[in-house]
Amino acid sequence: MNPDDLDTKFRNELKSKTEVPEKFYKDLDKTLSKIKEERKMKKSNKWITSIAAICILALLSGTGYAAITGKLKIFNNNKIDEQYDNYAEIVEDKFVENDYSKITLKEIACDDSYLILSYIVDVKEPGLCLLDDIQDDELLGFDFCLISDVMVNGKLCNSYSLNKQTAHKISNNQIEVYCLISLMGQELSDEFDVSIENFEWRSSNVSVNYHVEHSSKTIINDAISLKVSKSDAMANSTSFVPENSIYKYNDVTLIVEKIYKTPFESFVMVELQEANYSSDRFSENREDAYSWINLMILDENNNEISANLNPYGYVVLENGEYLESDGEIVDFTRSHPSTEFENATAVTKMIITFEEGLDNTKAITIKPYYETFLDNGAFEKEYFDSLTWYPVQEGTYSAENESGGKLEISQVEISEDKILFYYTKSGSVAYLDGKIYIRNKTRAFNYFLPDITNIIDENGNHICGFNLKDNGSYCLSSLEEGDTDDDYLTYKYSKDAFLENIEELEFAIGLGDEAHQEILGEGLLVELQ
Amino acid sequence: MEENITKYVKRAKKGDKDAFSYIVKQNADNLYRVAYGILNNYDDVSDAVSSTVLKAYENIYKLKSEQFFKTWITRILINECNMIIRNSKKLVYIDDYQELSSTDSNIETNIDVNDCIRSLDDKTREVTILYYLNDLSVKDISHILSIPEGTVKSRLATSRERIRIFFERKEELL
Repeated sequence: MNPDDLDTKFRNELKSKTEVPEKFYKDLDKTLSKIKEERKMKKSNKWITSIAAICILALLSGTGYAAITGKLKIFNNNKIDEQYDNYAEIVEDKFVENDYSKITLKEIACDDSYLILSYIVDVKEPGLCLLDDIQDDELLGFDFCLISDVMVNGKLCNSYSLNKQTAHKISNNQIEVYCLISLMGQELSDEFDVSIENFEWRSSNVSVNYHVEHSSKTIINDAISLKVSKSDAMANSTSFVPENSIYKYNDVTLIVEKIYKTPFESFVMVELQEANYSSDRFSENREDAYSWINLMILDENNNEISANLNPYGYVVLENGEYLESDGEIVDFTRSHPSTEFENATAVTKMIITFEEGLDNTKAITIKPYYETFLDNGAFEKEYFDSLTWYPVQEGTYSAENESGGKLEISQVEISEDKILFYYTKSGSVAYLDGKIYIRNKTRAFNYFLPDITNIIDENGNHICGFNLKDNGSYCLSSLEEGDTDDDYLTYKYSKDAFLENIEELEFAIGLGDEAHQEILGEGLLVELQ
Repeated sequence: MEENITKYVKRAKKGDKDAFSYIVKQNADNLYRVAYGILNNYDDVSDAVSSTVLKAYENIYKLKSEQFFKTWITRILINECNMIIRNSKKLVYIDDYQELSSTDSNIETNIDVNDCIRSLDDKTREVTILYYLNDLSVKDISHILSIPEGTVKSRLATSRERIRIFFERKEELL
């Protein structure tokens, strides 16, 4: 066998032997949430009187919280939390158990978007996995994970980005777990088979070694099977193909396949095609400008809606064959084709969900755009220099981009150890853009991103902020005082050094580098009602 | 859509946690395959990937070239895996493997491609995984590991010899 054949044979065998199990994605999610929770916990400990109080107030003014109403929030998703009780059905006598724990499926709810499974986990051995050491955090839920394979009509439902889970502690040996399983795009009949297999529970509060040692107690190799009906929810669901469903702009074709409005979620199934696609677009090592297609969703008032795009795609080669996927929908951002090709068509399927739902929206415009990324540090400096920088003082401030997107600051709250900004966003402001930055004007080029984010007060204001004395945050800065602006690199700086003197600080509102977005025409207007 | 990664790596370097989560998720399959190739045990894999993600988060500001995020995090992961192997002494060198296989009929019937990976020494295994699982070129591996291309080639030659033995033994058993 020549070396090339040997390489190919070995490479193929190696890859084929390494299927990624679903629970790996769940474990990875737990690790990533630990990063986020670490920040949130730190925040709530430090500012019990301000931020935490605001958040709790926001929760209390919403659908109600356990301490007041006895009903837990499930996913911090208003629509699901409000509608769950209307569609949840009690399940009787469905459980799995071993000598150490029992997992009971107590309720199930379903529509075209989600299957929601509600469990009670009873731990029979006191202290197993140290559950009594874990506190149920009102904002974050409980650090507990129930792993299982959920099969619908025999097919594993493993939508990595859309499935979610929350847990709450009832007592030191009883935990309530809600699992949200995405059914979006499956086109199921009103009644279907569900089988839940390979149960394992764990708390990420203890070490992996502890889990390994106790895995025989926390793994239950048994299954729960049942028939599920979504007919109750279907009476309050609509789905339709819009009259105006295809939009073309040069090489790009956008097709809205179907729109769903169900009790738990509103979502849009979209196909995005890009012709004249080549293997060069996959290259990680290009040194010139990158560009890719993204979607912007606007409501009938031309305000951008926060939407989550869940893309999966494939590439159709010039000869009609599928690139290394046999026509299966794959996430081709994860694949690296070994063959070179030109004149192919990249097809991306997307399930678009909306943070605020679509119930109060009459029409949406889906606008594709090329986003260009210049891998060039000078561009970044140029961008930040172009922003308007204000002294850190109380007052109202606003900024508007060329597309009419606006960020308005209604209040600046300054204290010894933090600066908080209360603001609203409107118009076309991209999902991850629209940020407030802070810098020390006495230093060479530098800026900080807010380290307090994702907070909304009871009036709907977004809140972001900056801890001023928190070592370990990031800033972009020149190496040292004497460096030129061109020498800057990202460094982990002590904020104490940069942000100690409020008189030296200034802030700016950034609405994204819209100069590097090429909007592809007017987009597709879709009527929803 | 690969180009997106570079954009999000830039954001992650500046402390954007959502962007960091995004790029880690985009590399999830790669991380699993690399770790499993070395450790062949789910719990160890989960442990290694978890430590890797936390270390990557702590150190991403040090990453100079965003386009090398994937190879950078793979390097961290390989180090974590090697540490787990050293701590648990799970490494089976090829000589031991051959000795075992001559006496243990179970191993003979269960010859696995991942055993071949685990039978390599740390440095050869690192290069082998980057080459075969990550599909990186000799030049890129040389850049990532800061070793001459000739060294990469010689380690690949060592691993090819083991691979040849692996396939020969596999065919003998069929």
